[in-house]
Amino acid sequence: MNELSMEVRIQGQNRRALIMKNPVMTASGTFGFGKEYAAFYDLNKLGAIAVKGITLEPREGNPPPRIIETPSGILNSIGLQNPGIEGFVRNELPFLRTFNTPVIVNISGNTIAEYALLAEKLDTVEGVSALEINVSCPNVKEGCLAFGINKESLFNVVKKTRENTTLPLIVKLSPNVTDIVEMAETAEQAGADAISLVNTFLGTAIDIYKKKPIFANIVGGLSGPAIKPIALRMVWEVYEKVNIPIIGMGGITDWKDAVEFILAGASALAVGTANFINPNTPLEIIDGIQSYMAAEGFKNIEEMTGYAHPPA
Amino acid sequence: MHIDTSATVISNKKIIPEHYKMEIYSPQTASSAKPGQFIHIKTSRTTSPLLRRPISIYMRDKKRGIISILYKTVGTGTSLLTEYKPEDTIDIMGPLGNGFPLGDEQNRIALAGGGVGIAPLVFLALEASQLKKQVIFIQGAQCKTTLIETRELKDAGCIVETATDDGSAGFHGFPTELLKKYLEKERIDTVYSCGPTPMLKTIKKISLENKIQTYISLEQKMGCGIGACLGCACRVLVNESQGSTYKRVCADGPIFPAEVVVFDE
Repeated sequence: MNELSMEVRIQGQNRRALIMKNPVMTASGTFGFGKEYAAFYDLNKLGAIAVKGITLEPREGNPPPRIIETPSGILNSIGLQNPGIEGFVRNELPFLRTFNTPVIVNISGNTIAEYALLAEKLDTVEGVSALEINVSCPNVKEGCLAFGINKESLFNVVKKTRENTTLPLIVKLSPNVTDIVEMAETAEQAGADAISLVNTFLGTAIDIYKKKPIFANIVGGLSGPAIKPIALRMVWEVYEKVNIPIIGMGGITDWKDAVEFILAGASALAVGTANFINPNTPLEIIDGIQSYMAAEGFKNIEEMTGYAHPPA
Repeated sequence: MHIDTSATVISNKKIIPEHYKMEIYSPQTASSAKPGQFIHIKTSRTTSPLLRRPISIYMRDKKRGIISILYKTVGTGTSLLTEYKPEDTIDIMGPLGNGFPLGDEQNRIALAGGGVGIAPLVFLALEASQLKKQVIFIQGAQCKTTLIETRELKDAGCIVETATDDGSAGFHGFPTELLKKYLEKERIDTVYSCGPTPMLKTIKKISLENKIQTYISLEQKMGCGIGACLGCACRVLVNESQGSTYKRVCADGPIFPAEVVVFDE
């Protein structure tokens, strides 16, 4: 039993690494800045916390309604409501620093220069353990998703961000592309240290009596159990072609989902929508993975990662 | 705030068409609940519907560790709730939200509720009566058959008035019109309201015209219910220099001073 290790290490540059005590993190946008969930459990138990997406300036977000429930899923159109980088560092980060859990800051920009500036500003901020580039938010008019669905702009945004940070750099990809593998390879070539797979799927819903889309922005992002099989397939495909670690996410609701993602090729995973229904989900998943490893004879996460793939 | 995955249903009865009262045994929730707060209920054991449903606390019995809710069947989640039987366990989270501010002065307050919106006001009226406040409780309903029994309020010494849209019981008209009549003839210190949005808009207008402190309970589609997902936004005035901003109905509300709520964007 003593030999069982759940530690996950994502190596960055300049000898900086994201070291997680277990593979379970919370997905950006579903966990605020941790305060709300700290009322339910000790955040020290998490592998990492990916905070709500941050932009240079504060953003007030989209008009309501912002959430539509769908079969086993939700569509959201929050619109990156956030206090901006200054507000985040001043008002939110001090609380997160009180925990021994790495904080991953998810960043979004309207232009490549904005990503670069955010990366530069956060590079030496105490309490920031990694950056996650968001090139996949479907809910803002400019930038963001536009960078995630075009190979060339993805390469440029990742490269420029890379040049401005020594932190471990994660790229959160959009699944709204024809070939996810190509996008993952592009991120790797541009200098990413890991890939988050996947952000939400574009969707919409129509009010049949008002006879118009429910969201002011027309489209929103679909998450929850409904997308799990697609996210899992994408992790599988990317694992076959890319060498950097994959953080799997998309509808993970219990430890069995989590184990599937690891066996498909994820080195770590994030819990998103499930936090809304059961705040204790991440802890239950950590326990579940540990029991599974003990029962199935896995000694560490690395050994388990991609285990379902046929031997090369 | 906590999750009680083993709360127990004590009773679940239809009281008028489409409206049910459910009593739930959850001592921790009952002991900490404040009027205006809600519980977030997982209605299904499967992933459909996926999200919890926020429902106001209607009454509570601290001694017996029981809270009750009043709900109307409007969709899949609330329809599933009707299937719960006594002794079933039910997964609830709460109490959530800020609750109605209720000073301890022995003053006069008026509560105006429409439809199922009377639920949090009943809890408020009962608490306020215990604080020796004079409570005027105005219930609005479509017609006589959709009026909800309020014997508890009369027993507690509240003045109970009813208004029906079709005049089949009590005052013929909206509860807001009845509230106006009260404000014209006597001193009321604070108004509290919960109900459909058009009603709350009128309440806000009355509040501004009469310069009377008013608190309203807002509703919005919710995700997490605890303030993390930012799904249930409502526009609220901050101050003149900063203008308005989005607040979270679940965590900053659901109770807001009427004058700060921006209804039409």
